[in-house]
Amino acid sequence: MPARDDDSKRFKSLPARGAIAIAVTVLTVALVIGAAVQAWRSEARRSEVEREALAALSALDSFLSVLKDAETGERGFLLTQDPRYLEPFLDSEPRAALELSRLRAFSGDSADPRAQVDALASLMSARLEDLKATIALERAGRHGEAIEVVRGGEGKRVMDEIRARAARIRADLLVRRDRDAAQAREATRRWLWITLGGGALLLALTALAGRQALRGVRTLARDDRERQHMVEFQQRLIGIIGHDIRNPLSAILATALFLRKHGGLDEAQSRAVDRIGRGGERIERIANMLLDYTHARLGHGIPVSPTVANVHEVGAAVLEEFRAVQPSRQVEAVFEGNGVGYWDPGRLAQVLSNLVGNALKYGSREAPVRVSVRDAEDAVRIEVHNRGAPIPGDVLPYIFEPFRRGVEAGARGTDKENLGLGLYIVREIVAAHGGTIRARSSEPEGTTFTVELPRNPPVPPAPEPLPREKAASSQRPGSLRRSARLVRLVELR
Amino acid sequence: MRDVLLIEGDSDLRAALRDLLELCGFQVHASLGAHEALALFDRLDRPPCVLLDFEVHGGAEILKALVSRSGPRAAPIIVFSAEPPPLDPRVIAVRKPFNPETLLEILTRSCQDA
Repeated sequence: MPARDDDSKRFKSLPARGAIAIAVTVLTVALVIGAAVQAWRSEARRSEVEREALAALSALDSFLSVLKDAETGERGFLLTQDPRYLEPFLDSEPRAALELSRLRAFSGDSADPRAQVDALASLMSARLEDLKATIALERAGRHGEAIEVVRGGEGKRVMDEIRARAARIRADLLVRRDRDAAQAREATRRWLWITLGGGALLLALTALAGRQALRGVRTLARDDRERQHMVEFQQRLIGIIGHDIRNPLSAILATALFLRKHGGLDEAQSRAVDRIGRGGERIERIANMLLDYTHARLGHGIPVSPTVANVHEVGAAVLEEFRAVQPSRQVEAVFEGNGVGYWDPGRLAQVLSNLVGNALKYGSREAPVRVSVRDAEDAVRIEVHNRGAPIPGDVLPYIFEPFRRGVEAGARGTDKENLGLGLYIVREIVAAHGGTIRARSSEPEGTTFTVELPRNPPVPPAPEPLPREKAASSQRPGSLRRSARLVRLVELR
Repeated sequence: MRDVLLIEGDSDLRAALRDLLELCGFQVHASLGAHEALALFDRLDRPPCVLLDFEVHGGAEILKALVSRSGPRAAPIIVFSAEPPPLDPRVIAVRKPFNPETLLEILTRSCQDA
């Protein structure tokens, strides 16, 4: 069945594939988050670069303005001797120094820009010293000397150098800004691409997972349909066994009995009619067992109709039947205490006859089979014991499972009616009454099956005649015995 | 000779039971369905023993009608059913397929009782 093999392989590889898919998904999500954070940081770095460059340029411009204002003030004072023109000059030194320090802060740590700023600082000092000297001469009333200093051109030369250096620093700043910003932009783009790629991968994984889930749902639906078909098939099977076979089988059995009772048959014809009867009875037993099995298996449990019943009476009737059929075998019975409870007497008979039947079948022929029914608080305990070869240790734990025949029966191969369902059905009947069953078996102890049946609801212990009256009052006289006997006969013959 | 009202849908089984029961000395009145069965029941002088296939059409209704018609001293009603029918003291359930000897035993005894 290649299709089945494929299926099983696919299902086996599912958990491993699932684990891999989950790992890949988690890694991809981590990658996407990491890349997005990196992109955001690169973008922040780029705007930081822009902002710093702008601040540095503005510091540079302010520095030049301070110097120009100082120079303009000096010229105004020389022309008018009005000290108010000196105001821009008076605080020019700290202001220019402040702008230079701001510029230095942005100039980074490479040697060249710092050297440029230092040079700018010393040029600024020289220029301010020059202005200060000129103003001092003017204040001393030496106007002509002061004008001479200005005409000397030293001040203009220093100022020109300051401008040239400032222009170089500006160019430097712009180059650095462009370079850093471009790097940051490049990084942002790279991380964004990685984020996008991760997102696409996630999308693909989600699509795959969705497809897988859809397939899973379809498989589940298919399994569900198959299970449904199975249940329908089983129910149909029950219908066939439980309904369609019953009528013709009953007709066969009734006809065989009719022929036997009618008489007038020769010996060979009588034997033939007996064979028909026996065959029909065997089919009947198998059909009943399969019916019980399918009922229990489909989860309905074995149907029971509890009523007030006396397990002592049921047990006595079952044993009487066995003694009649197998007079050579010894069956010892002990019935003690109160046998009354709320049970299905027919099903109780089925349990007892199965256990006693097994004990007779598998037990030693020399030793008696012992049956005891005793009180056990709110329950009765039924024990069926036989001597002989014990149940093998590897069989014992599974003895109540369906279709597990006894080893001996399998070896003998003569027990055609042993479907391996008897003990399973017994267990189900006991369970339907809320009871338990267990088996123990060993060479020295022999084999014992113990059934505990709760009285359900508990009937208070009473002197022997009272329970009988109770049973009689709830049913027609003798009907309990009759129904117990009926089922005993139906199940065992 | 005791009357037996047999309500059974399967014709082979009905014929087989009729042959067997008549051979054993019963007067068998066979019927296929509800109306016929109740008419037969009413026509008889004394209430017969009843064999009812619970699964014939209207089986549950026939059972109810028969239980209400037969007095407390009447013979029990034997019902063929795979599932145990609702318990009534006058109803005896027999699961199909049944052993005809068991059936004869029950029938003989309950007819004597009645």
